[in-house]
Amino acid sequence: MNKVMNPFRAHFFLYIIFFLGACSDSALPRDRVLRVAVPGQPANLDPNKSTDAISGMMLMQIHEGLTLHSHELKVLPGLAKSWTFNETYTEITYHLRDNLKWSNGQPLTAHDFEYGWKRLLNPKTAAEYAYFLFDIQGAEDYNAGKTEAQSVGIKAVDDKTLRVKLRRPAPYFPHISTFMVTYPIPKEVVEKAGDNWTEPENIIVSGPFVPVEHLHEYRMALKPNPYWALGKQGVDRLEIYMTAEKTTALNLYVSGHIDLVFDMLPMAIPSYRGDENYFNGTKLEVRYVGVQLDDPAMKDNRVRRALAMSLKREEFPAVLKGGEIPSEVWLPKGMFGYAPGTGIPYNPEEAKKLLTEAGFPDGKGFPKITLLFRAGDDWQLIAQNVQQQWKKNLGIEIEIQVREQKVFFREISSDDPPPMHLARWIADFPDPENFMGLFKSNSGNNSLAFASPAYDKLVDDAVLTDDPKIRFKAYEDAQKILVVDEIAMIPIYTGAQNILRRPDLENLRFNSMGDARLGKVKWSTKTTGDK
Amino acid sequence: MEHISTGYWGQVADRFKKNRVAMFFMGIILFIIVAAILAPVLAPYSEEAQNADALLQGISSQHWFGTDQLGRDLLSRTLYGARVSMKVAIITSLIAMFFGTALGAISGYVGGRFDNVAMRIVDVLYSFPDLLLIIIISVVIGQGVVGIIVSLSLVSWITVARVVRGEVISIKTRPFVEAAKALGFKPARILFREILPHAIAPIIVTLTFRIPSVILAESTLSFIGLGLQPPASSWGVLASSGWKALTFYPHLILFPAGAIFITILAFNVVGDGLRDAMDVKAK
Amino acid sequence: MTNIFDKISLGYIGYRLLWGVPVLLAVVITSFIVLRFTPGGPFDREKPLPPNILKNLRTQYRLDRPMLPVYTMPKDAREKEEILAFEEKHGAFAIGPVHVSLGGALQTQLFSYLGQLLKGDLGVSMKFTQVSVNDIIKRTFPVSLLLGLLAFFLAFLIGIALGTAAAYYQDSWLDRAVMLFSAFGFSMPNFVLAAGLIFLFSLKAQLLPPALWEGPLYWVLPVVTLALAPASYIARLTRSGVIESLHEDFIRTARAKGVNERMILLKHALANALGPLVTIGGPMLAMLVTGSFIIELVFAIPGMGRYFVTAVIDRDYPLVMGVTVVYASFIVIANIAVDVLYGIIDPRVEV
Repeated sequence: MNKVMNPFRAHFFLYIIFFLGACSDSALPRDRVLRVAVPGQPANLDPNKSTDAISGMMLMQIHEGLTLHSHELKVLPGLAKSWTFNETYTEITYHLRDNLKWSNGQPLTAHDFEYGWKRLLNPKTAAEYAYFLFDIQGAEDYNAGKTEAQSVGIKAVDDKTLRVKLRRPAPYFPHISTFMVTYPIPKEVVEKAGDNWTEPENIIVSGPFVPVEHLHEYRMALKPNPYWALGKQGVDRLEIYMTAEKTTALNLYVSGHIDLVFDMLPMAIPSYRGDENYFNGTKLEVRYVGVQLDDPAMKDNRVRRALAMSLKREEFPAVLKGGEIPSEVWLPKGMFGYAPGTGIPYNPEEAKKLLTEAGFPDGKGFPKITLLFRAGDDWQLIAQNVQQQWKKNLGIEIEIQVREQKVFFREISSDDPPPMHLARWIADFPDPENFMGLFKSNSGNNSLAFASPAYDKLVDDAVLTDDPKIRFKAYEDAQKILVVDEIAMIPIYTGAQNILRRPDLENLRFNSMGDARLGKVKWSTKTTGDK
Repeated sequence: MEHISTGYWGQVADRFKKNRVAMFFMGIILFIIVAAILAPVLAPYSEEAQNADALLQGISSQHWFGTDQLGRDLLSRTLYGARVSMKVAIITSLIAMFFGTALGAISGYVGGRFDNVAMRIVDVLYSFPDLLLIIIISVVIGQGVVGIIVSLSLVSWITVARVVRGEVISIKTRPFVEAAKALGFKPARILFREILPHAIAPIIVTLTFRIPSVILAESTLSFIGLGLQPPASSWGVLASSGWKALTFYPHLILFPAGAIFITILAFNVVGDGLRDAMDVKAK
Repeated sequence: MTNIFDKISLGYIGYRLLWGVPVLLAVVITSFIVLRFTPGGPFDREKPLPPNILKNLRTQYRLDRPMLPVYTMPKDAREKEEILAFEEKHGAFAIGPVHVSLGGALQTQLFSYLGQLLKGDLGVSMKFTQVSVNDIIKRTFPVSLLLGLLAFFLAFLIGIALGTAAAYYQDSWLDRAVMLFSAFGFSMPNFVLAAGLIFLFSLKAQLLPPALWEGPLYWVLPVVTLALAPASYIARLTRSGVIESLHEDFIRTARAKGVNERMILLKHALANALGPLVTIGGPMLAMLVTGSFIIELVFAIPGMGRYFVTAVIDRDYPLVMGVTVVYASFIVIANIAVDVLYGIIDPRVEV
C-alpha cells in the first residue's frame, strides 16, 4: 500500500523533526569532558537552603568551604589555610588563604563567610539546616527570632580572619565547616539577583567549576573557575545529568553517554563485582529497627533482647547485594568509635529461651505487633526479611506495614508511634557526636521513647576530652546502654556506596560521607581515546 | 425483556462460537481464572516462603520460573499474583460499570438540566489529573487491594458513563420507547426494562475492554511505586520489580510481563469477538 | 465542502471556552482542598525539623493560616497556636466547633492562592525552594508537549496507514498482520515495552541512545514507545470505519462511475472513517501529553510528568497545583478543539 499517501504529510513531519533537533553536544574532545549521573534533581543550589545529598554533591563541585574532608575523612584546609581553638574549645578562629577570589575575580573575604553563616541563621531565610550552626553562641535564639544578628558569635575580624564563639565545647567544629551550608555566599549577587542568584547567568562561585547551563531536572553543564584557590581543574567541561531511574543511569553508562554513576542499580552489582568499572565503599549510614520502649508489647527487656538476638545480619547484604556491612552496633564502620562485637550477637537458641521466660514459649501468645516502614525497594526487602527471620527463629508473626514517605515520617514522630519501625541515620558530619547525639533525651531527632541520664552524660563528656582512648571508651559504654542494656533500637547494617566509573579516570576518590570532589579529576593520558 | 428475543443471544453465541481465535482466547481467560482460583493448590511453594540459600536463581526443575531477591519461588508468586491482578481488574471494572451505567443511563434518559449538571461534573472529573487522584487515594486508604480498586474505579467509571449515556440517548427516540411512554409506564421501568436491555451489548463489550486497561493501569502504578505493597503482590508489582533486573535476571520480568501480555491480549481478542458477534459498532 | 469559516460560529467557541472556566475553577478548588487534606505534609522529613525552623517555613509558605474561611480548630498544638494568632489578627466567630473568619477570608490559603492564580502567579516550589512554579512549567511543559505531539502524529500516521491497508485488503494476510500488531500494541505496559526496545536497539544493536533528550535521534525510542498503543487503537478504528464505508452505497456508485480505486479509498472511505478518529483525537492527545510520566522517567526526559509524580509524593503543594492547572486547561482546550473540528468534518453537527 505504498501508494496510499497519508493525510498528515510524512515529509513535512520529518522535516520538522530535523529542524527542531539541534544537537547540543559540545565540540570539546572527549578527554576534556567529564559526564556524571546523579540520581535526581537537586532541591536547591543555594548552599544555605539545600538539604539533600544530590544538592550536596553538586555544590561540592561549585563551592569551597573553610575546611574539607579527605577521602579518609580527615579535615584538610579548604579556603582556610589553618584554624585554632582556644583552650576550652569554645572559640575557633579560621585564617583564610591569601588572595582568595570569586569566579568573577572579586576578592573573597572572611566577610563572605560571616554573611553566609548569618544568612543561614536568619529566620527570614527559613533554612532547614540552620541548626547545623546552633553550636555557635546566640545562633539558636537569632534563628528563633528572639535576638538580632549582632548577638550571634560570628565575626570577620578582618578580611582574612573569621572568629566563631561556641556555646559549648565543640572540638568537632572543623568538620562542620566542611558542610555545604557553611560555604561562603556572595552578598552582592544575592542581593541583586534574589532567589535566582544560583542560576548560571548570575552565579559566582568559590569552587572548581562554574555553572554555564542548568536545564532543571535534566542537566547542568559547568566550566572551570580560573580563580579556584585549590589547584587546576582536570577537565574543561563537567556535565551532570539528573537521572532518577537507576536503570537509566546504568544504560547510559553502558552505552558510553556517562562516565560516572553515583548510586548504582543494586541488581547490577553482582554482575560487576571485580570489574574495574565498579567501586564499592563504606558509607556512614546505619539502618536499624527502632523500638518504642513504652509500647506494651515491647516493654519487656527480654522480648527486645530476643528480637535483637534472632536477626542474622548477614542475610541483609545477601538480599540487598550492595556490599552492606552487617552490624549489631550503632556507630558505623569508618567512624571513630566503631566497636564491632559490642552489640548483641546472633543466637537464636538463647533468643527462644528469653522469649519463653517472657511468657511466649515458641512465640505462642505473642501479640501481632506492627513493623512500620516507608515505601522503597530496599525498605521493602528489609522488612520482609526481618519478618521472615523472626517467624523462623522465634515463631512469632509480626505485621509489616508500609507507609508513603511523608506519612511515615509523620507517624513515627507522632504521639502514637508504631511499636517498631525501620529507620536509618546518615551522617551529617563524620564525628560520633552526630550519631550518638541523636538519642540524647533532649534531641529533637530522637523519635524513640529512650531517655537515659547515664547515656546523656557519657555522650556529653566524650566531646570534652582530648584523649582518644577515653573518648572511645565513653562511646563504647554509651552504645552498650543503647543497644545492649536498653535495646532501644536494633542496628542491622552499615550502608555502602556503589559507584560505576571509567577505570581511566585519575584523581577520583570517594569518602564514606559519599563525597566526590571532581575538581582535579582527569582522564588518564595513557588510554585517552574514544569511548 | 419482551423486545429482545432469546434468539438474539442465541445468535450471538453461535456467531461467537464460530470465531475460533476468540474461542481459543476465551479458553485462555478461563484457564487463567481457574489457575488464579486454584493458586494455593497449584503453587509448588508458599507465596511468601523465603529461602536465603536460593536467591535470584534462574529457571530450574525446583523453580520453573526461577526465584526472586528474597529466594521466593516466582511460579508461585505469579500464580498468586494472578489472583490479585484478576481480582483488582474484575472488581474495578464491575464497579466502574455499575456507577458508569447508572449515571450515564439516568443522565441520558432524564436529559435536560439534570443531564447538563451531571455532564459538567463529569467534565470536571475528566479534567482532573488521574494521577493526583490515585496518589491521594493510595495515601489515604493505603496501598492495598482496596485502595487500588477504589482509585482505579474512580478514574474509570467516567468513560463508561459517557458510552452508556450516548447509547441511551440514541435508544430513547426509538418507537418502542415512545410506545412504552404512551402506555404510561413509569420512567424507572422504561429505563431499566425497555432501554437498558438494548444497551447491554455495548456495555458488555466496554466491560471486556475495561479489564485489560485496569491491568495495565495497575502495573503502571506499581512501576512508579504506587502499586500494591507487600505482602500483597500482583503481576504489575512483579513486572515492575523485574524491570530493574532486565539485563541481569531476565526471568524476573519475562514471566510476569508474559502473563500480563497474554491476559490483556486474550481480553482484547475476546472483546473483539463479542463485538463482532453482538454487532456493536466500534468505539 | 463549504467554507470552513461559515461553519464555525465564534459564538459557539466562545461559549465552550467560557464553560471551561467554571470547570477549571472546580478542578483547582477540589484539587487544592483534597491535596491539603492528604496526610503528611511538605515539611515532614526523615530528620525532623526543629520547631522554630518549621515555624519559619510555615510562615513563608502561608501554611500558618486556615485553608478555608470556615474551619475547625486543629488538634496539633502548634497549628492551633497559628490559627489563634490568625484569628486575633483578622477576627473570627465560632458556631459550635466550626469557626468562621470573614475578615480573614481573603487571607485564607485557598483564596490567597486563587488571588495569586488570577495574576498568573503559581507560587514557589516547596521542594525546589527557590524555583518558581511558572519557571518549572515554562521549561518542562514544552518538552512534554513535543513528546506528546510527536507520539500523537506518529500514532495517527501508522494507525491510519495500517488501518486503511487492512480494511482494503480485508481478511488477507496483511489484515491479519495488522490486527495482530494492534493486539500486541496495547497488551504491553509502557515500561516493559521501553525495556524491550532499549535492550534491543540501544544495548544490543547500539543504534539508538538509551535515554536523554538531545535531538531527533534521542526522540525515536520514547516517541515510538509512547505511540505504539494509540497507533494500535487508531489502526483498529480506521479499519472498521473504512470497512463499513466501503460497503456503503456511495462507494458502490463511485466505483460504478469508474472513479479510480485510490481516490475512492482516500477521498470517500477514509474521509467517512475520520469522524470517530477526531472524536478520540482530543482525549488521546490529552492522554499523550499529560500521561507520559513513565516514558519521561525511563528515558530521563526533562518533561512535566516526572515533576508531577515526585511533587505529589513530596507534597510540594504549589508545584502540584501548578501542574494540575496546566493539565486541566490542556484537557479542556483539547476537548473543545475536538468538538469544533468534529463540527467541521461532520456536516450533521451544528458548530
